[in-house]
Amino acid sequence: MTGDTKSFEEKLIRDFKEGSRERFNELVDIYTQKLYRFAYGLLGNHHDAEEVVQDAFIRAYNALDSFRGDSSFETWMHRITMNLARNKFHWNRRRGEGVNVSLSEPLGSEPEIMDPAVEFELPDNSSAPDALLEKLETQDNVIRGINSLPETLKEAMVLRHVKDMPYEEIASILDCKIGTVKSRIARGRELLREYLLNMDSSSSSKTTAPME
Amino acid sequence: MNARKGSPGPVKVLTEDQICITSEKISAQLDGEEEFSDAEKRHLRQCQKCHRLRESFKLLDDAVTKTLEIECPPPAQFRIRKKVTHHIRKNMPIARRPAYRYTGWVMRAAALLALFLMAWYLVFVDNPFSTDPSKIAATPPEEARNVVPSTLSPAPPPYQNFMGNSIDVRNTRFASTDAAQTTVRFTEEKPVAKAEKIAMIPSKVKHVWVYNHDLKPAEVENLLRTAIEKINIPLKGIILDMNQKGELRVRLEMNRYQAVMLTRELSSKSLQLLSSQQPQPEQKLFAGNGRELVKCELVLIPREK
Repeated sequence: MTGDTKSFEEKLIRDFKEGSRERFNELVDIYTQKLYRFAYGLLGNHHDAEEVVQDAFIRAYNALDSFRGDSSFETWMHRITMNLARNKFHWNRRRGEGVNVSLSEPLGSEPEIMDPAVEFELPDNSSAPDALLEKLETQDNVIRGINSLPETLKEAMVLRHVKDMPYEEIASILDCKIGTVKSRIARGRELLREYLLNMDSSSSSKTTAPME
Repeated sequence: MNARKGSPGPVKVLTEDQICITSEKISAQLDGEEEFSDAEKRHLRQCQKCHRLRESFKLLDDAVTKTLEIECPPPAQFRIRKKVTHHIRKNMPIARRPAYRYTGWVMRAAALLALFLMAWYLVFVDNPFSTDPSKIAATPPEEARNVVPSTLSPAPPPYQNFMGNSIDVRNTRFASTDAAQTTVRFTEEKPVAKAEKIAMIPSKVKHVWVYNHDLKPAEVENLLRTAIEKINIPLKGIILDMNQKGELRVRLEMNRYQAVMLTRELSSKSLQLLSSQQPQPEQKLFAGNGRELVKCELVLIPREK
């Protein structure tokens, strides 16, 4: 976050605490995309991501008066989103809902998705395991793989990839040490790699984006 | 040196180049959190396993980043914003103004006081339904402001146009015997038209009554005078106009209540009201609270034989 952005956010928060409640909408505009990606990464579907982001903003609004500024607002929002996503994930699991990724329905068929690309270009690397390459060609597989990870590893992975956050910030959000973050991300990658390599080829769906 | 049987061989000490890099280190290096040492770089060039692991991690990173590189769809953005805005509005704190804390009570008390004052005024000061004679005022008609002295003025010259005959009724039984009460005079007016025509004349209250022809004009005059007295209108200054045909006309001012009472009184004496406008439709002429005086004209004519 740039210094200008940070100071602008601090001003917004200050105005909010002084009574300009409507300024919270500006924070919503700034953070909707970031939090949506994060929630989507944790939950794997748009509907749950939207719900979690909505609730995260409402919780933040209710609690912003008591926000002390010990951490950045971004970190605080991510923490709220993460907790809500955890609750949602457990709730879905109790109800028997797994990863909400349709096997038969190709990605991009929902009208809301702006980027329906399913197949993306991978860097040409002749030394890369072919088996892994093949599995990575489908987003479904990747999402399924991410959702198969243990919660703590998944959170660290998603924060790293969605936000490109430094380990220090991830540690702040997850409330753990940097070394823990390092090992979680590494372990997450290993497990994801193993999951994809061990995936049965017949159970993976391979779809291609429509030719434009 | 010959190795002894059963003894372990010489310990092979791996150099730094030969020790595999941990997955954590590779992962952290990919994320830019750590750097490989020169030895590790050399190892990476030589060790297939570490190289393959690093490449796998790199591929995974690219795939995961691309998978999660999604945009929040505009409809979802709109819904999120809408819900948050609704929540903000619902929970907007209401500014408290201590100075107006008791506004509700003050307003209620003021309304009750106003109602009480209105009721008191209507009951005690200006009661439209009061039967107290002193409250029913009647001003004499403007035409009769001049009080006629007890001695009558000289009779006007006979009006040849009036039915060809002229009668001075002042000294006849038609004249009023009460001093300074009614005045009977002849008018030069054209003969009173038929009841229907009279009734059609608008603009003021005009009642046309028909009395039976067996009633004498004097009796009709007394009847009318009595009725006027009964509704508390002083006869002083009232002018009764009568012609030879026995058609009696009187102008006076009365309010709605008096008009109704007069109508009842005359009706009870077997007079028939022929006006197209009955008292009831004339309510609109008695505007306001009905206490205002309206100029009225009564015409009493004998029924045709």
